Amino acid sequence: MTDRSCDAHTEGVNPMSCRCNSRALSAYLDGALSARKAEALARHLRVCSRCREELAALTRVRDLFEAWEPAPPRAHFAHRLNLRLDREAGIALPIWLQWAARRLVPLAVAAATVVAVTYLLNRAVLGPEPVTVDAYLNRSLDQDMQEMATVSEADLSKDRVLDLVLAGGGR
Amino acid sequence: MLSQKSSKPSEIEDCELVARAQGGDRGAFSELVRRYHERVFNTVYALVGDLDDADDLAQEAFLKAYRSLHRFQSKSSFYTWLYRISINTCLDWMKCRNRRGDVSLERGQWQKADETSRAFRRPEASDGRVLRRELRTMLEQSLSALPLEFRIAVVMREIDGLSYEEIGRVMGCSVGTVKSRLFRARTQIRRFLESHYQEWFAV
Repeated sequence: MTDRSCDAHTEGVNPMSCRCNSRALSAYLDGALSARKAEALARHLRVCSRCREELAALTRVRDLFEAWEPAPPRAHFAHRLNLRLDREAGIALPIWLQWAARRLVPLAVAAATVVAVTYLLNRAVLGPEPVTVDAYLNRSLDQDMQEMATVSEADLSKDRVLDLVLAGGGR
Repeated sequence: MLSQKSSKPSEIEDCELVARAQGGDRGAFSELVRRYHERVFNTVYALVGDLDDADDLAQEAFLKAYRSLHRFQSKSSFYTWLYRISINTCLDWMKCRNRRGDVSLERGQWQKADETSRAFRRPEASDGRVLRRELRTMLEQSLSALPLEFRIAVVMREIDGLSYEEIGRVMGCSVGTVKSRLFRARTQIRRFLESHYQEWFAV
C-alpha cells in the first residue's frame, strides 16, 4: 500500500500520506488515536478507497480474534497445581517462615560472630580469667578430699586425719 | 491495572486474598488460582500454540507466583503482576527451546497451515463447529508465524484487551513502539491469511 498513490492525492484533498495512514489505521481501529487525528483520518477515509480497503482488511483480522474461542484448559488445573504446591511444601518452609529465615538467620549469625570475636579479643588482651576466692577454696577442698581418698585404711589413724585437716586448714 | 475483556474480580478482594496468602493461607492462593487460571492459560496458549506446553507453562507461572508472593507489593494489581510472570515464563521457555535447537514453532506450523488450508476448502468446512475449529487453527497458525515481540503485543491487545499504555508497561517499551508492533503484527497476519486462506480472506 505504501508504494501506491492515494485517490485522495489526485482529488486535490489535503490528506495525510498513505504511509502515515497505514500505521494510523491500526491505532484508529483500536480507538487509540487522539480526537483530532481520528477526525482527520475519518475525513481521509471518505475520499481514499485504498485506505478503506486497508481498514476493511485489518478489521477482518480483528474479527478473527473476536471469533477465536480458546481451547479449554486441561482438566483439574487447580487440583494438579495444589498437588505440586503440597509437594513443595513437604520440603519447603511456610512462606512466613521463609521470610523470617531469610531475614533473621543472617542477623543471628552476625550477632554470634560479634560475640565470639569479642570474647576471643578479651581473652587475648586480658589473659586467662583470674581465680576467684570461692573457686580457690572449692578447688582446695576438692584436693583435700582426693588426698584423703588415696590414704590407705591402715593409715587412717586419728593423728593422721588430724594432720591432714590441719594441713588443709592452714592453706 | 489491566483492563480486561471479561468481567474482573474485585481488586479489593484480590488484595485481601493476596495478604492472606502471604501469611501462609493456601486456601486464599487457591481462590486466586481459580479466578485467573483460565485467563493465564489462554494468554500462554495463544503465545506458545500448544495445549500441553501451555498447561505446563501456566502451572509453572502460578508456582513462580506462589514462591515469590512475599515479594509482591500492592503497587500494581495482582493480575498485572501474575501476567508479567506468565509472559516471562513463556519467554524463558522459548529462549530455552531455541538454545536447545528444537524444531522451530514457525516452521512446523507453516507446514500444518498448508494442510489446514486444503482441509478448509473441503465441503464439510461449512459446518459451524468445523468452521470455528478452522478459524481457531487459522489464527493460531498466523500467530505462530509472527516474530515474538509482535506476537506478544497482538495477544495482549486482542486476547487480553490491554490498552496501549498497559502493553508498553508490560513489554517495557513506549506507546509509539506498541503502535508500530501492533500495526506490523496485523499486517503480517493479513499477509499470512491472504496467502494461505485466500478464499476465506478475500473481501
